[in-house]
Amino acid sequence: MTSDQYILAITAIQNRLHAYILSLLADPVATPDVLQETNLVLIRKADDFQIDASFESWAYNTARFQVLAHLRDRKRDRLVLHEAFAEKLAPVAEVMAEETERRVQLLGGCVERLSDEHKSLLHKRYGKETAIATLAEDLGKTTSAIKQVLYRIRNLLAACVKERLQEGTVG
Amino acid sequence: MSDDNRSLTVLIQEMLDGALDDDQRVDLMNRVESDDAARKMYLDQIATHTALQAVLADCLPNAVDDESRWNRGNPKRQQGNEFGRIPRLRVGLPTYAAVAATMLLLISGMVYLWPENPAIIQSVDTPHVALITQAVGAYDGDVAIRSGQQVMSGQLSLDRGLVRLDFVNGASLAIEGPAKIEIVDEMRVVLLRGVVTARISASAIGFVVNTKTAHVVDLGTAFGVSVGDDGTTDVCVFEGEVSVNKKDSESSQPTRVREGQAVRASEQSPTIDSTDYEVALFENAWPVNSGVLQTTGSIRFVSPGPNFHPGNYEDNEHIVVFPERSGFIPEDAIRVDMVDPGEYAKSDYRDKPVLPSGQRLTSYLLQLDAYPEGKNPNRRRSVRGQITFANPIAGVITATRLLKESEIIFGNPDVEYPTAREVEPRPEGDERPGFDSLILAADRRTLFVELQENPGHLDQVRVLIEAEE
Repeated sequence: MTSDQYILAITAIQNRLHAYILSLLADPVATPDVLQETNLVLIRKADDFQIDASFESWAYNTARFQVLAHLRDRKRDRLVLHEAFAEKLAPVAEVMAEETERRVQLLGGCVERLSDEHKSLLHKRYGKETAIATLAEDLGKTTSAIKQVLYRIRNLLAACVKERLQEGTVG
Repeated sequence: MSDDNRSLTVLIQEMLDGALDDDQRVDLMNRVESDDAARKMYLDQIATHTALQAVLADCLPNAVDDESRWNRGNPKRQQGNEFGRIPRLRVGLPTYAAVAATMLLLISGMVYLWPENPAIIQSVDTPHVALITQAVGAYDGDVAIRSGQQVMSGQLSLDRGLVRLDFVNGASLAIEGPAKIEIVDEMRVVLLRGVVTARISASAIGFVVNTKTAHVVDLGTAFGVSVGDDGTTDVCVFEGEVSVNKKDSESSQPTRVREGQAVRASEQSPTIDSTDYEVALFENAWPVNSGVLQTTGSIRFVSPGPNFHPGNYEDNEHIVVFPERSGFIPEDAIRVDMVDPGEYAKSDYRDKPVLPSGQRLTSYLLQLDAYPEGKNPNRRRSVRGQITFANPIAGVITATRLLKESEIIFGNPDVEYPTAREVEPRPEGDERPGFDSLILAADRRTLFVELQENPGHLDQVRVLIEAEE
C-alpha cells in the first residue's frame, strides 16, 4: 500500500470507525474526539503498518486502543465495567461497522422518498445535530412528540433499507 | 413489541441522543452484554444512526434561515462580542466521508456517462466549455457527479453537494445543490435555482449570470448569486464590482454593486434593491472557489468579503483560514518549516527546507485567536481539525521568524497582522499534555492541526500551495 493509498484508506473507513467507536463507548458526545485521536494515531503510525496486513483490522485495533485510552483518561468510577464491555463487544462491533457503508448507500435512496417536512426534520436532527429539546422549542412541540416523529421516520427508513436489501438494489 | 424491547429501544435512542446518565448507560451495557437479541438491536440501531448522519449531513440542503449560519459570517469586532461566540463544531463523520469521496474522485479522474445531465459529456475529443475540477458529495438523483467530467452547453442539475466548474476562459463557478443551471457558453450561464459563487479572472471579465429576475455582469471580481424558487435573486459582491439589471429591462441604467455590498431583484419590486451584506448563503460554496476542498472539525474558512482579515477576526472555537496572495511567484527562495509528509518538529533556522524562487504559489493563513470570554475566561482553548486543499501543499510555515519573513511576501499589505505565536510541538519523549500538533498527510493536500492556546494569545500557520499557471 502506497502512502497515498494509506491516506485514502483512512478517509474511506471513517463511517465504519465512527459506528465502531460509538458502539464500544455508548457515548455519542465522546465518539468524535476518539475518532479524531484514532485518525491522528493512524497517520502518525503509517510507517508501522505492514503492507500485507489488513488495513481494516489495523484501523479497528487502533480505534479499540483509543477507546480504552479514553476510558482510562476519564477515570470513570465504573472503568472496569466499561473496559470489559468494550473488549467483549469489539469483535461483533467490527462486523456491524463493516456493514455501515452498505446502509449509507441504501439510505441515500430511501431518504429521497420521504416528505420534505420529514427530510427537513431529519436534516436538523442528524445533519446539523440539533438537540431534540431545541427542535421541540423551534417547532412548538413537546420533546416526546419530536422523538415519536423521529422514531416513526427511522422505522420507515429501516423498512425501506430492508426492502432494498431484499431487492438487492442500491441508490 | 414487548415492554422489555420497548424500554431497550428507548435506552438506545436516549444513548444516541446523548441523554443517558451513568446508571442508564450501565443498564444498557449490561443488557447488551448479556442478551444476544439486545446486542443485535443495539448494533443495528448504531449502524442506522451512523448511516443516517453520513447521508443526511452530506445530502440534504442546509436551512438558510439558521441563525448560527448567519452569525458565522460576522467578525467579532464588527458586530460586538455576541458574534464571536461560535458553537464548537464537532468533528463530523459526514465531512470525513465527503473528503474520502472527493479524494478518491480527484485521484481517479474517471469520466462517466451521465445521460440525465445533458451538459455533461463523456468524450474527451468533444469541444467543451468547462471542466468539473472538484466534486464534493455531488449527485443528480442517485448519479454521482465526478471530478474530471467535461461540460458543454446545456442544463446541469445538482440535487446535492458541491461542484466547481472551471471554464476554459478562466472563470470559475462553485455550485451548491440543490441547483439547476444552464450553461449557455463560456461567457454566460442562466442560474434557474440554487447558489453559485464565482471567481472571474481578467480573461473572463464580462462573464454573465442571468436569472429569472436579474442580469448580473462581472466587471472583474468575485461574487455570489442565489436564486430562490420564486426567482428572487440575491447578489453579494466579495471582491471588485459587478453590474446588475432587472432581467426584463436590460437597457435601463445598471446598478453598480461594489465589494462588501449586496442587492436583491424580485418580481415584487420594479427596481434592484440594496440589502444587508449577508454571506451565510455562500459560505459553503466559497471555499471551493478559493482552492479549499474541505475543512472538518474546528477549522473553518473565513467568510467572503473585504472586511474579514486576520487583524480583526477573533474566534475561540475555530482555526480560521484566511486566503492571502494567489498565484504569486516570489523572486527569492522561501524558507519554510515543513515540506514533506509527517509531523512538525522544531528545527534550527539554517536547517529548515527552502522553496526555490520562481515557483508559483498561493498562500493561506490559519489562525486561532483566543480571547477571554464566558464564565471561565482564562480557560485554555483546544481546537483541532483538518483542511484539504485542491492542490498540493508546497510548504508549511509556523516558526515566528519565518511567519514574519513570509508575511512581507504573502500577507495582505492593507492588513495589520497581529503578533504571531508559533505552534509548540511536543518535544521528543515528552508525555505531558497540552502541546500543539501539525501533521502533513501523505496526500500532500491535507493538514491535520491541533492547537492549544491561552486567552489573549494566538497561533498562526501559513500554508503555501502549488498554484497553476
